[in-house]
Amino acid sequence: MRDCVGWGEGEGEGEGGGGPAAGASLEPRDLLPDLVADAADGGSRLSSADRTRLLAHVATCAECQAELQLVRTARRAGWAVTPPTDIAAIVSALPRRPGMVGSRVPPRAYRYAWRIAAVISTVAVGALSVAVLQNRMRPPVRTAPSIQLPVPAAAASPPEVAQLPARSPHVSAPAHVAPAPVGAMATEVASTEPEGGLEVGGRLADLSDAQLNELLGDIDRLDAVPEGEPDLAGPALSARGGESL
Amino acid sequence: MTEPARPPSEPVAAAGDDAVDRALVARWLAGDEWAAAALVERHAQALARFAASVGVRDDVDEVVQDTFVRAFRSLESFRGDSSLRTWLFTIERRLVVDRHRSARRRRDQADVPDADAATTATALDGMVAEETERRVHQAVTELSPMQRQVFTLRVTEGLSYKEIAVIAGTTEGAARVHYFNAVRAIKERLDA
Repeated sequence: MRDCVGWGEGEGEGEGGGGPAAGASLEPRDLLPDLVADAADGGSRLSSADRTRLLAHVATCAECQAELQLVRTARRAGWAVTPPTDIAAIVSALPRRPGMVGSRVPPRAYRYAWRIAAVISTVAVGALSVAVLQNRMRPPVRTAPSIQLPVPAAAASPPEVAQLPARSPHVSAPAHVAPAPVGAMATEVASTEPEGGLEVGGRLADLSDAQLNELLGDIDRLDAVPEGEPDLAGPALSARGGESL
Repeated sequence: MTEPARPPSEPVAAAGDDAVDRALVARWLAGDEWAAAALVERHAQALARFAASVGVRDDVDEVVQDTFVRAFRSLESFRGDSSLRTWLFTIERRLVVDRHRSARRRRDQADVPDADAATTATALDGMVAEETERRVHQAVTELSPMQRQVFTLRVTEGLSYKEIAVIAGTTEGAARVHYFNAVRAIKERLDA
């Protein structure tokens, strides 16, 4: 077999990453492992130009063809004898850093964990929606009878509230009060009280310190405690839901 | 002989994936433990192959694990001058050398690596299916330890002479000479 004479005229010199250095000492045979490895793992050890030049050389060089086959076979043989490794055991033996987040779960399991979390979240959101709907259909909580408190004149009928149209019993908060979703149910319940009862909402904010102290004193003097629990055997629901018959 | 279990795909981490490795290292240093699992998954097989090629027999898994433990203990000092895989190979090689020295002291043997290599060849031959591959593998295992190491890193792992020089503690020129001597020796074995 004819020995490889290196790069022929016009083939240039390879400058791939596999050689000892880019330059005159680089031979085509130096680059054969890079050619095989790039084809196997999609790497870019060789530039496109070097690969083209090398393939052109190999096409005309019997020795390089034989050595290319040897390199391919040796690589396959090397991969064939890859001993098994226990990834989970290795990971569990690694030192932990302070403040580590997550668990020692391989990435594949991590992806499954996300799917499980997504399912749990979906179920939780669904259950929450059902609970909210049930709450909305539940009859209003019956509280203690209205307690007539001496409300300061300044807060008795603020102009904002007085001007609100009485179109719905559910509207209770003044227009200038920002919506409060969490307290919406409580506001709705309070709004079912007859006129003249204890007003809640933005009006308390309008009271002066002296008026608040006076109000608190009145509350302290009360001898009755309102019922805190809803009356489950209360009035039936109407077809419209949420309103007492 | 049964068909050996071949890896389903090419390496999880191909050479040139340095940016991915650096990102994973940064994430692990920032406290993300999943990054550690990803790094192990990317490089464990290559380390196992290299360990087998340098004469590790039954405890390849243990060597790979110790390599990762050592690496992660000093991961903060990894500056990225070389690729992470090159750095891991360097750690593993030192680890294997230390184990050979310890074993030699214990057993008072003169040349443990060569003895291990012969045994490794016997043990691993059965895993190679095709006759040609088996003969090539046999020829590789009969190389000198340095030639076998350089040939494996160059051909099986696709590392450059520069990277091999760092791992083997030699020069690029010497690594190249070892490679060509290894190829010549393998050809001679196959032609014999």
